[in-house]
Amino acid sequence: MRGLKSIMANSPVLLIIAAFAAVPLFVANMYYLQVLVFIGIYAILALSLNLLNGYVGMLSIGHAAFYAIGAYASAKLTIDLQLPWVLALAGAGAIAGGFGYLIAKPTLRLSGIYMTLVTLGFNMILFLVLQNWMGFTNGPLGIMDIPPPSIFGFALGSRLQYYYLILTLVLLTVFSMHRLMDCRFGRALTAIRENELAAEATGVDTTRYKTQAFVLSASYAGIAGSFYAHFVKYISPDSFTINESFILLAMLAFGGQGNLIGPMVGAAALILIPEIFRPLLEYRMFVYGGILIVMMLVRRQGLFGSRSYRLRLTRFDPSPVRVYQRGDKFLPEG
Amino acid sequence: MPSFIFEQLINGLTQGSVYALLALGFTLIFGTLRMVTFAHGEVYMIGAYVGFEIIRLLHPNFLLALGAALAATAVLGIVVEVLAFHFLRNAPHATSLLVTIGISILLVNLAQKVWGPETQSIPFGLLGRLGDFEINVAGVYITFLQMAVLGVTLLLMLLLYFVINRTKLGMVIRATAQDYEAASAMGVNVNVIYMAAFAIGSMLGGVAGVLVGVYYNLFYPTMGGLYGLKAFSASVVGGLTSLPGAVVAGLMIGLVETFSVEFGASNFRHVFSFVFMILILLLRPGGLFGGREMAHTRGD
Amino acid sequence: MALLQIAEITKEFGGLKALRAVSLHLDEGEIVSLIGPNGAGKTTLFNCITGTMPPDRGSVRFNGEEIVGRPPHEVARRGISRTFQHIRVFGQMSVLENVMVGRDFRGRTGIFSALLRPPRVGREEAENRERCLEVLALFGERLLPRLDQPARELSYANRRRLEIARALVSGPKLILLDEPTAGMNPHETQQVVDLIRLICERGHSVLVIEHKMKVVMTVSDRIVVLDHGEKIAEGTPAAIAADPTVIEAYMGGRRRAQAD
Repeated sequence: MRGLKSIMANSPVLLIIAAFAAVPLFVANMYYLQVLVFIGIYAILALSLNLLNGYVGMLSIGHAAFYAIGAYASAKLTIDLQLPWVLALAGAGAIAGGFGYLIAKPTLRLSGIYMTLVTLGFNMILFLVLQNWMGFTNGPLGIMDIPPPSIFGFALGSRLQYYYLILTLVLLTVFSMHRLMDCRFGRALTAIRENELAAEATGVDTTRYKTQAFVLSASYAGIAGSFYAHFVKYISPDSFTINESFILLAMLAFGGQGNLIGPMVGAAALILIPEIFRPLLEYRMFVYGGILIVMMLVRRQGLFGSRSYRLRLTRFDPSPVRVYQRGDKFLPEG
Repeated sequence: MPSFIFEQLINGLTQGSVYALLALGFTLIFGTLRMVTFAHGEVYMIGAYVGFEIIRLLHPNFLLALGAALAATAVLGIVVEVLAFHFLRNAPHATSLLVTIGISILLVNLAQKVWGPETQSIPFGLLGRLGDFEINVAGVYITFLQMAVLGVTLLLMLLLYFVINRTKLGMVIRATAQDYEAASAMGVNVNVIYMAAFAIGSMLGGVAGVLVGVYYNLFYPTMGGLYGLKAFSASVVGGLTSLPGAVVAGLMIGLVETFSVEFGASNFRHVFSFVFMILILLLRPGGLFGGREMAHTRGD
Repeated sequence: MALLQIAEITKEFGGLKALRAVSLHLDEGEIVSLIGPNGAGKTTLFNCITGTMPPDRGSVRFNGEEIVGRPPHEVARRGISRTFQHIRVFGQMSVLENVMVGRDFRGRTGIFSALLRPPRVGREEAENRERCLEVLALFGERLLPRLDQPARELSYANRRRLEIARALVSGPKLILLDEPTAGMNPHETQQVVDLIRLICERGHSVLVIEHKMKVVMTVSDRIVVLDHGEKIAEGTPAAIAADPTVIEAYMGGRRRAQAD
C-alpha cells in the first residue's frame, strides 16, 4: 500500500515526465525537437550553476569553462582514446569535476567578489588556451566529426533519439540534485548561503561543503558539455566564451534560483523567447542583456526564486504531516 | 643593448598605458563604490566609436574626438551608475554585478547594430600624415601616435592624481570611499559623488578607447571585451583600490605581453594578465602593493 | 578539572585592546554570566572561544584540549555551540530545517549516500527529526506550531528561541548565549530564565552574556565582570552586587553615557 501511496504523492511529477515523453508524438517538426534538445542542455547547465549561485550563494560567472572542459574531454576521449560514449560521459563529468576541485580548493578561502573574479579569470584563460593550443584542441578551427553517442553498441542517429537521451539526462540531473538537496547536504549548503558565520559556528564545515558543491556543479556542467559535443558533433572555442556564462546567469536571473524549478524555467524561457518571436532571434543577446537588467531591478529573485518548492519526489516521514494549532498540547512520545 | 629592445619597450609601454588608463577607471569605481563594473570595457568601446565617428564625419581632429568621447562616456558612466547602483544600493553585491553584465551585453549588441559587426578603420589620410610621422632618438624610432598615447596617458594620470589629491572633489571622493556614512553625515551628497566617480572612471575609459582606436586604427564592437577584462585584471593585480597600483600593473601587463611576442609566446600573450590576476588573488589578495586589509575579514 | 579554562586571552583591533589578558574558568554544570558595559569585550570573548576570531595571545582549553586556532566548526564539533547577539537564523529555511542544521555534524550522510539512499540515511533523518522536535518542545508552543514556516517570518523573540534550539540540538557540553533576552518583554524574559535553568538541568553548561541584572542575579552560579577588556571582578551574585569596583564601572559608565 505504501508503494501506491508514494506513487500518488509523486503523481504530478510523473505526469510531467509522461507529458515530456509524449512530446515527440505531437511535435513532428525536427527543428522544434532540436530546440527542445537545446533547452535540455541549458536546463542541465542552469541547474548546475544554480547549485553554486542559488544554493550556496557563491557567484560564479565563468561557468562555461566547465561546460567547455566537458565537451573537449568527451570529444578527445572518444576520438583519441576510442572510448565508448558512456565512459566518455562519465570521464567528462569527472575531468570537469577535477578542474572544479583545482579551482575551488585555493579560491574558497577568498571572500565573495574575489572568488567571483577567479571564476571569471579561469573562463578567460580556458577560452584562450582552447583557442591557441593548436596541437591539442585544434585552435579556433575546433574539433570536427565527433562520433554520435553510442550506448552499449547502439549508436544514436535521429533527433528523436537525442531528445529522449537529453530528457533522460535532465531527469537524472533533477532527481540526483533533488536527492542531494533534500537531506543533510542541501540543508548545509542553504545554511551557508543564508548565514555563513552562523552555519560555521553551528558545526557546518563550510569549506568542505563549498568545495563539494563546486566539484558537483562542475561535473554536471561537464556532462552537459559531453552531450553537446556529441549532439552537435563539432566544437570550437567560440561556443564557450564568457558570453555563454553570462547567458546562464541571465537564465538564473529570469527563472530564479535556489530551487530546482527556477533554473529550468529560466533555461526554457530564454531559449524559447527568441524562437517564438522570430524577429527577436537577431536580437537574442539584447533580450538576454535586457532580462538581466530588468529582472535585477524589478524582481531580483527571479520568477520562481523566492521560495523552495517541494518536488515531493521522496518522503522520509511516511506519517501524515502534523498540523499544530494554537493551544495544542504537544509532547513527543518517549 | 640592441635598439629593438627599446622599441619593444616603447610598444609595451604604449600598450600598457592603455591598460593602465582602463584599470584606473575600474580602481576609481571600485575604490569609491566597492562595486565591480563589467560594463567598463564596453564604455571604452563606445568611447572609441564616438571618436571614430567624429573623425570620420565631422572633423579630422584628434582633440575634438577626445572631447566628444569624454562627454559621451561621462554620460554613459552616469547611466551605468544609476541603473546598476543607484537603484540597488541596498541589494547584494551580486545584483549590481549582474546588471553591469547586462549593460555590457546590451552595449556590445547595440554597437553591432549601429556600426555592424565588422572591423572599421578611419579612411587612409584622414588623420593627415600623423600616422607616418616618427622621430628617431638614438636609433630608436618612436611614432607620433605612440608619443600621443603615452603623452595623453601621462597627462591624464597627472590630472587624476591632482584631482584626487589636491581638489575638494577629490577629497570628498576619498572621504566617501573610506566611509560613506560618515561622509554623508558630514553633508556630502553621496549620490553625486558616486556619479562623479563613475563619470570620471568612464571618461578615462573613453579616452583609452579613442587612443587605442586611433593607434591601431581598428574599431569593432567586441573590442572592449578582452581589453576590459585585461585592464580589470590589472586593477586586481594593483590591489583594486590603489590608483598607483593600477598604473604599475597595467604597464607591467603591457610590457609582459609585448615581450612575450618577442620571445615566441605570442599565442598565449592574452593569458598572462588573467594568470597574474589569479595568482595575485590567491597569494596576495590585497594586490601587489596594497596591504592585506581588503582580504578576507569577517566578524560579528 | 574545569570544563572551560580560558587563560590570558588578549585581542587587539588595530591598537585598540578589546581584551587584555582575560582569564576565566567554567565548571561542568555551571551557569556563568558575563556582564559589563557596552564595548567591554564580551562578544569578542565569545568570538575568541568559538574560533570566529582567534585571539592574539592566550589559550582556551576545553575539556583539557587547546582549541585556539581551530576553525569554528571544529570547536562546535567538540561541544561548544553559541547564539549571536545580532540574530543569525537561516531566514529562508523553515524552523525545522534551521534546527536540523544544528545536527549537521552529527550526520554521516555524504554525497554518495544522499544519492544512493541506503536505509541508514532514512534512519538518520528520522532520528534527527525526532531530536529536533524534542528540543523544540522545550519552547512550549512557541516554535512547534511553526515547524514549516520560514524563519524570517518568525517574531523577534521566536527567532532568538530558534537560535537557542539550533545551538542545543547538537547536544553541546557548553552553550554560549549572547544576550538571549534582548528585545524581550518581562514575561518572555522570565521564560528564558526558566529555559536557561532547564538547559543546565539537561546537562549543558552555560556561559551567558546578559544585560538585564534581574536575569543575571537569578540565574547565575557565578558572575564575571568585564570592563574595557579587563576582568574586574568575579564571584557569586551576592558578592558581585556588593562589589564597589563593579558598581563604579557600571555607574561610571552610565554617568559617561549621560554626559554624551
